[in-house]
Amino acid sequence: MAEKLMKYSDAVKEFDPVFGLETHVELCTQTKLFCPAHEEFGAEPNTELSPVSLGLPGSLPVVNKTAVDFAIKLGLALHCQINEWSQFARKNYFYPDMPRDYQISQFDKPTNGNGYLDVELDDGTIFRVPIERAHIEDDAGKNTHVGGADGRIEGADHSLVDYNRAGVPLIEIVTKPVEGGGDRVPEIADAYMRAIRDIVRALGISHGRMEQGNMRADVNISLRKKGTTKLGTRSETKNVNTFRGIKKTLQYEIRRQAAILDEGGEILQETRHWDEATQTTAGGRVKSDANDYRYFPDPDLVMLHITQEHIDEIAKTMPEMPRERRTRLQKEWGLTDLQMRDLINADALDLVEETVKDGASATGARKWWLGEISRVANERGVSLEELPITPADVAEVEKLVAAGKLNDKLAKQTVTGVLAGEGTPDEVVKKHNYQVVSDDGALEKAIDEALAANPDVAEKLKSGNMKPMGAIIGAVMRATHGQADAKAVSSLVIKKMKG
Amino acid sequence: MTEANELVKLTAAQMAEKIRNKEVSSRELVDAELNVIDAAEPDIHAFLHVSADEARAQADAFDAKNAKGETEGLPELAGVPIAIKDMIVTKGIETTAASKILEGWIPPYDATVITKLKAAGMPLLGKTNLDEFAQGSSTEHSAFGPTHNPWDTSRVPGGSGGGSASAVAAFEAPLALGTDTGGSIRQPGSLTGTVGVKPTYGGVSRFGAIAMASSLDQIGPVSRNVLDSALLQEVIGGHDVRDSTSIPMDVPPIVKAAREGYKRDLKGMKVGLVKQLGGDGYQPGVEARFNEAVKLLQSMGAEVVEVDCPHFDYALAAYYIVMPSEVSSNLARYDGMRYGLRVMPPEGVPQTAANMMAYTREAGFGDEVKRRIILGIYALSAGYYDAWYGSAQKVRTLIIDDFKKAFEQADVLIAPTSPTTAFKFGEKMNDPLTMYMSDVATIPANMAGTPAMSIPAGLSDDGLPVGFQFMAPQKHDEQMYKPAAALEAALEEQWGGPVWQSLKTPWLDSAK
Amino acid sequence: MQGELNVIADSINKVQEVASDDVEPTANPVPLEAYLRPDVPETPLRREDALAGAPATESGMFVAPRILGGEA
Repeated sequence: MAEKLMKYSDAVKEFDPVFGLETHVELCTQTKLFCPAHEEFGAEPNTELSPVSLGLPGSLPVVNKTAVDFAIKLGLALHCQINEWSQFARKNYFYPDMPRDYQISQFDKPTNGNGYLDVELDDGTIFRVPIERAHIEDDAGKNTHVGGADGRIEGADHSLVDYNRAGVPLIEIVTKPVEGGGDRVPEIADAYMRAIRDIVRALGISHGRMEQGNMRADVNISLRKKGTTKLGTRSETKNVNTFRGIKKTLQYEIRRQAAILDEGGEILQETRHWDEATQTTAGGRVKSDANDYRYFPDPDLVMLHITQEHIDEIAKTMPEMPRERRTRLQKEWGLTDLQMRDLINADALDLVEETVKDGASATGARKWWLGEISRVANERGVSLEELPITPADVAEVEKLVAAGKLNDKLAKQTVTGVLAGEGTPDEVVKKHNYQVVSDDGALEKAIDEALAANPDVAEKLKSGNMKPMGAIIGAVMRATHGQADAKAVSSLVIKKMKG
Repeated sequence: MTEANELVKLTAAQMAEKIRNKEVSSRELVDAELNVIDAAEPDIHAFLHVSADEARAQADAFDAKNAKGETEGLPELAGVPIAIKDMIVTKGIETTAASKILEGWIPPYDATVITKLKAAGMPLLGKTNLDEFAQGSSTEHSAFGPTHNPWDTSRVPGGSGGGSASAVAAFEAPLALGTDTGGSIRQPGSLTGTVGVKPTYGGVSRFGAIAMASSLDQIGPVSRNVLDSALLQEVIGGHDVRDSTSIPMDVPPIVKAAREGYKRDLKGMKVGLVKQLGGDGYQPGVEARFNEAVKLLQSMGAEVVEVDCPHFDYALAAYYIVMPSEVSSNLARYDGMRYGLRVMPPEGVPQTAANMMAYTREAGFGDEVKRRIILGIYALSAGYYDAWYGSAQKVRTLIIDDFKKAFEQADVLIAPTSPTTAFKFGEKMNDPLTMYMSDVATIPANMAGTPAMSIPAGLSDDGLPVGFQFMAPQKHDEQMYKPAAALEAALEEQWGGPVWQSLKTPWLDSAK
Repeated sequence: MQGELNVIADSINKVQEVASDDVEPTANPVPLEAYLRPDVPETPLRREDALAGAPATESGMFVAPRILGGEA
C-alpha cells in the first residue's frame, strides 16, 4: 500500500524539519573491544572468536586501549568534551546474534559529550551540526536467514549465526536535534555523513566503508509547523547504510510526515526501515521504545579514567583534518572551487591524491577518475573504490603515456582492460600488444603508402597547406591498427614535405 | 585404618612436605583421595564429576618432573591434589554450575585459577557440587541432587559451596576451591567444620568463574586448617589482566601472617566485635562457642572492642536487590543458542528463536534461579532502577563506610559465620526467607569487598560444627590470617587436636 | 512466588530508609580504574571448539530457529 506523500517543495514550505543522526562507526582496531580476538572482514564464519566474544560462561571483558585512543581522537576531531571518567553499562536484550544477551555500551557516562561538526554544503555554505555524544560500544554478530526469499528475515525457516563481528568496537556518534536546515536537511545530512566518513578515515580509526558495513546510521526526523515552537513526533529509520539511502530517507519521511500532518493526522513514534528496492521507508516490526533495556553499570568493568596527559598525547598525533586538507590540495593542484567540489562529490579525492602520490600529474589523475572510470562506475552502479582499478594502476597508465609508450586511445583501451579485470596496466598492454609504433621505418613506409594513395593531398601538403594532414594521419592509423603516435606521424610528414 | 587413610588426613602443607622429602608421590596422594572419593560419594555426594584420569596424569607428570628435580620455584603446595567447585571453568572437563542448562558443557578454556593450579602441578580431582549457579545456602538447589554433611548425613552442608566443604571435611580432598557471593565459601565452612576464605574482592581473578553476581563473586580456598588456605590463596591470587576488577597488586603476606599467628601472640591487636552480628536469631550453642573463642583471643593478648556497624542491618536487603539484578543479566546468555540445553517449543507454539529461548530457560533453570532472575528483572526495570538498584548501591556505600569506621577502631572484625549449625534437608526449602537469613553475617563482607574467613570454633550442643568469622580491611587479608591461625592453634590445644577428631568417618573404613 | 516478591518489596522499603540523596552509589566495591589492554591479537578459539557446545550447527555457523513468526 503506497503511502500518501506531499510534494517536497510544499512540505518544506509548510514545515521545518528537525533531524538527528545516530551514526555507528566500526573501528579498525587489531582486536575486538573487550577481547584479543582479531576481526577481519570476510573471514570464515566463527573463526575469530575468544571465550569473551562468544559469551562463554566465566569469560570477562577487558577494554582495548586502542579503541579508547580512537574514541579520544574522534572526540577531539568533533570538538567534544572528553570526560575524565566514563563508564560502560549493560543494555539487556535477547537476539540470537548477541552472545551475552546484553550489549556493553556507554549509557549515562559516555567518553565524549557535547561537540559539533561544521559541514560544507555544495554551494560552499558552512552548516554547524551539534553533537550530543560519541560513545564506545560493541557490535553484535551477523544472522544469515535461510529458507525465505532473497535471504530476508520474513518467511525464513531458520537463521545461521556468525559471531565474528560480535565484540568489534563501534563508536556511536549522536547528534543533537539539528534545527534550521529547512529544505536543505537531506543535503546537510549527506554532507555530515560524508564529513564523518572523511574524518574517521583521516584519523585512521575506521575504514569508513559503508558498503562493508563500517558505517551505518539511524535517521530521526520530525516536522514542526512553521511559526510554532512545538517539536513534532519523530520517526526513527534504523540502520541505513548508504549515503544515498540517508538522503532519500529524509526526503521521503519529510514528504510522508507532511502529508499526514497536513490532514490533521498524527505521526506514530516508531522504528522504520529504509527499503532500497522500493525507495521508501516502511513501519518497523519492532517498537524499540517499548523495550526496556534495563541498563545498569557493567559490574565486570570498572570506570574508564582518561587523564589530560592521555588526551594531550593523542592530540599530538592528530592528522590534518579533511577540510584543511582539501584547501591545501586545491591549492597544490591549482583547481577551481567547482573542480574541487566535483572531485569531492565523486568521492574521488582520496583516489586522486593517491594517484598523484604514485607519480601521476593532478590533471591526468583527475581526468581518469572523473572521466572514463567514473563512467564505468556509474554504468555498473558501484563506487569508484569497488572497481578493480587502483590509484597505482592509473598512475602507471599515465607514466606509459608520458613516456610515449601509449597514445590516448591505447591508454583508454588499457584502462578498459584493467576495469574488465584483465590485470595490471602492464599485463593488459602485454596481452593486447598495445604499443605506439615508434619505429620510424615502419611509420615512414605507412606514410609513403598513404601519400602515394592520396596524391592530391600530398600535393597540398607539399605546397604548404597543412589542412588535409588529418587524412594522412587517419590512413596511417588504420594501417598501424591505431598504434601510431599521431604527433610522430605529423612531424614525419612535415619533415618529408620540407625534404 | 590403612596407611592411605592416614595420608588423606594430613594437612595440605604436610602432604606438600612429604612430597618434597620424596616420602610420598603426588600420584600416591591422588590415588588415596580417589579411593576415599569412591568410598564416600554414595553417602556424601560432594562431587558432580570426578576427573580421575586427568588427576592421575597430572600427578604422574608432576612426579616425573619432581624426580628430575625440575620443580624448583613451584609453590609450596606443588603436587597436592585439589577439588574444584563446578562454578569454575575447566578446559576439557565438564562444567555445569549444577544446572541442567549447562549439563554436558565441556569448556574450551581454563579459568585463570585453574591455569595457576596446573602450573603449580596441583592435580584436579574433580568438580564439586553446589546450589545451581551458586544460588542457595544448602546445596539442595543443585539440579543433580544435594550434598550431605559428613557430620550428619541427614543434614545439609550449607551452600552454595556444600560440595567443596563436604569433600574437604570428608577427607575426599585436602583442598578445594569455592566461590563466595554472599557467604558460599564461609557458611558451608561453618556448617562442616572446615576453613573457608573469601579473599578481598579482586584479590583472586574471576576470569573463568561462572558469573553469579559479578560485583560480589570471589573465588577462594577451602581447607581443613588456616595455613593450608593461606598457601592456596597464595597460589591462586594476584593481578590478572583478563579480569578488569582484579586489583593490580601482589598477594598480601598471608602465609607469613598465618605462620606468625601460630605463635599465639596477639598482643597489640585490636579485635572488633560487630554489635549487629549476634543476638536474636543466633543459636545459643553458636553464641556459646563464639563467646568462648573471643575469650581465647583475649587470653592471647588481643584487645576486644565492640564496634557499631549500623548499616549491616540493611546489608541483607540491599544484597537481595543487587545480587538478583546482576544474576538476571549474567544468566541471560543461557538462551539455547551457543552452548548447553536447547528446548524447542511444543507443537502449536510458534517455533521461533524467542520461544526456544523461553522454553529452554523454563526447562533448564531450577526454581530458585528463576525466582532470582525475576526479582532482578523487576529491580532493574526502567522507572524503578533508581529506587531499587540505585538505593541498594547507596547502601553498599554506607556498609563500606561502616567497615572503614570500624577498622579505625580495630585491626580485624569478628562475628559468628552462620547463625545456626547445619539444618535438616528440606527444613528451609519452602521458606526462602529463613534460608536467606543463613547468610546474614557473611553478606556484609561481600557488599563491601572486604576479605573474610570462617574457621571451626568447635561443636554446638547439637554436636555440629560452629564457625567463627574474621573480617579484615580490603587488600589486607593478612590481618585476618594471623588471629585466625592463633585461634585455631589455641582451640586445637584445648581439644587436643583438630575439630575433625570428633567426626565419625565410616567411609574411610570401607575405603580400599 | 508471592513470598519471594515480598522479599524484594521488604528489601526495597528497608534500603530506602537509609538511601538518601547525599549518598553516592557504589558499583564496584574496590575502587579501581580500568586497565587498558594492548591491542594485540591472540590465537582465537578453533572453530570446532567454538561450535562444540552448540545445540545445532550448519556450515560452520550456529543455528537459530526462525527469528520472526508470532509471539507465544
